[in-house]
Amino acid sequence: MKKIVDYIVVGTGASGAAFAWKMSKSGARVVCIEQGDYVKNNQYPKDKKNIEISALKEWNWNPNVRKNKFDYPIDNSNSPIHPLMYNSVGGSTLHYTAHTPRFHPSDFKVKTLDNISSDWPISYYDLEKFYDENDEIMKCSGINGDPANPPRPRRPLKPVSLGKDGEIIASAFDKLNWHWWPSDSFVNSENFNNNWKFYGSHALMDRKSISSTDQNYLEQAIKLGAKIITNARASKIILENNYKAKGIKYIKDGKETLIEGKNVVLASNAIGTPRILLMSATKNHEKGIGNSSGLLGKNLMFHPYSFIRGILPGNNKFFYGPNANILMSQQFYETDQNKDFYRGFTLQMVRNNGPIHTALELDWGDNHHKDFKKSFGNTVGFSIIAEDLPEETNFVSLDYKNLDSDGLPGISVNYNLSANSRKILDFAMRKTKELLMEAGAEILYETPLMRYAGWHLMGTARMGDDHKNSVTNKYGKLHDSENIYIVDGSLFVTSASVNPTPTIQALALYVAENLIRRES
Amino acid sequence: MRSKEFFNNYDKRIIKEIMNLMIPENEEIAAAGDKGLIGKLEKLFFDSELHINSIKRVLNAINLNTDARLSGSFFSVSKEKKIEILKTLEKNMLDDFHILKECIFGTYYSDNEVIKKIGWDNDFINKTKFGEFTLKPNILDKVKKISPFWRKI
Repeated sequence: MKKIVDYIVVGTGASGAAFAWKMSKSGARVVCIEQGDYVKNNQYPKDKKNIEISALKEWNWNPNVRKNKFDYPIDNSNSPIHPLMYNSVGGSTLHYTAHTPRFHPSDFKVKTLDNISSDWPISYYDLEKFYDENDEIMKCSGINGDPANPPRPRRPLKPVSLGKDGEIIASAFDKLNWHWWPSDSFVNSENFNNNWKFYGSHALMDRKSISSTDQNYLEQAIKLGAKIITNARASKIILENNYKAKGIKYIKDGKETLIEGKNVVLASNAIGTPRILLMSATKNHEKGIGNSSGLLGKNLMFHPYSFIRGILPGNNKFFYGPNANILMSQQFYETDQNKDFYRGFTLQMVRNNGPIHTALELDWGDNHHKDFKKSFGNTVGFSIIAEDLPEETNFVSLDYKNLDSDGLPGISVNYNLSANSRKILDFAMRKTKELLMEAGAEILYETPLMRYAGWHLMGTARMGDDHKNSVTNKYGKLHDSENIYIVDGSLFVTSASVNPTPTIQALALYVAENLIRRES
Repeated sequence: MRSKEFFNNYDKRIIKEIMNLMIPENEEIAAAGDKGLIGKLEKLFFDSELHINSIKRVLNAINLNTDARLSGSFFSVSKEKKIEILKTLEKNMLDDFHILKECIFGTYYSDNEVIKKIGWDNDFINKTKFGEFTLKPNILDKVKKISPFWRKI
């Protein structure tokens, strides 16, 4: 007799894997559909010398550049920030920096606190135990006691060393009396032994040093009975009636198949998830499933980044250790009534790159060699992560001019940087220069807005209590359906100013737990 | 898709000239184009349609440039004018120019001679650790004195 699938999960990245694990553990029958394949260790660049080249080509974060068969085209011509992602079993956790701070309690209540945007229908405390659970499974390294964040348990792994360059910067923060703290990260501090230098991607150099969901959540989920269908592109949710999904169609090897299940769970990131819902339009859901509010695909948020690099004196060879998971400052995280913008930013220290990526950050021409010699191994950089507030005019839509390898529409991104975000970044750049000068650094260059920096995709199917201004309820269920759920960054109401992966995963675990509770 | 289908000798001469302008010679190494790296650039990047097309668009824009056309070709204008043309394209053709720059810098900085001259050790797992393996215990002394300041709600 055919077994009925309880949950069809679309996507196996940060959120899909976490959800699949928790539901499988509860005894539910879970099938994951993944458009990419497993990436085996031997598929990573074999010649370590060419890691930097691989990061520019087949391992580029930008799907438009690497153009794998299972990527889909994204038209960025109306966006100054280009979305980045990786589509395979493990998703973007295969190929990320693994910097893993948490949202603050205030991030969930910006309407109440600052009278802007909207509150989330849930609070930090609804997610807290899932953050903790996720940190244990992903093996978070770090140290508790950060005064900028609520208390949290002892980190499963010890913190990564700051290195000499990190110590110089920490001392500069101390002199200015500004907050800083060693970064939480999903870097295995016990495995990588702090002895590699950065080449353009952490995972490409030493995969075992970075925690990815294919190696933890999914391995466990499979042992518990979950099935993964790879190279299978979700094409359309099929409805049984107006409010209930029957299952989902996917294309594998050119053939379309319907898989039926009691529930459909979307975990394909804030671009992939609205894409599937929009592609699933029917006569009674002309604008896509779950779109009665008209908000599906809208309120797209990135984290707008500025970047500044300074040169520290000496011949330093500051190459060793993680690139961007060193330390961070949240001195200017919250809204300050004395400033002309709402919300704030996080400063994230960034280490030197290998030669190709160092050179790419510099000007070309007659001064290139001089600049390279001066800066190679001697710089310290700061990524400035601004909180992006949701705006309906920032949205994704289907792009029928650019089709994927299965003939399905690509995505068009329409995004403008808000005046508030620009003010945050301008202020932050001034403060970062102040810090670098305190550290004795000479400013090398500054980038007011990073273009190829859309790592964090959020907000295109926001959660909320009112079906008129949100796409899902506070448990991730579409308002318009009784059995379609979202568990990824699409749910975000606001973006905070930190990397979103732990919050995405905590949300997935939270949605799963509520479903388990409901079932029991 | 091979480059020979897309780039004729004239195109390659322009690419070589751009390489020389972007990474000129220094006291130790020849300029990127004169170093004979165009073959390596083809090998590294011209298996990608995206890279070929981006370079093609930049070359087309150079060939259409008014100053270059009035002077006969890109090769006939002064070095300063060539740089000015390229800087204009860098601003106006952000993504294509970025790809071109990646190809040129990627090729040059993965060349064995260059790697040796800049003192880069390709063994990314170093034999010695980069510093103290654990966080220095007293480094957090000052920041720990800051009272918790996250907004409670």
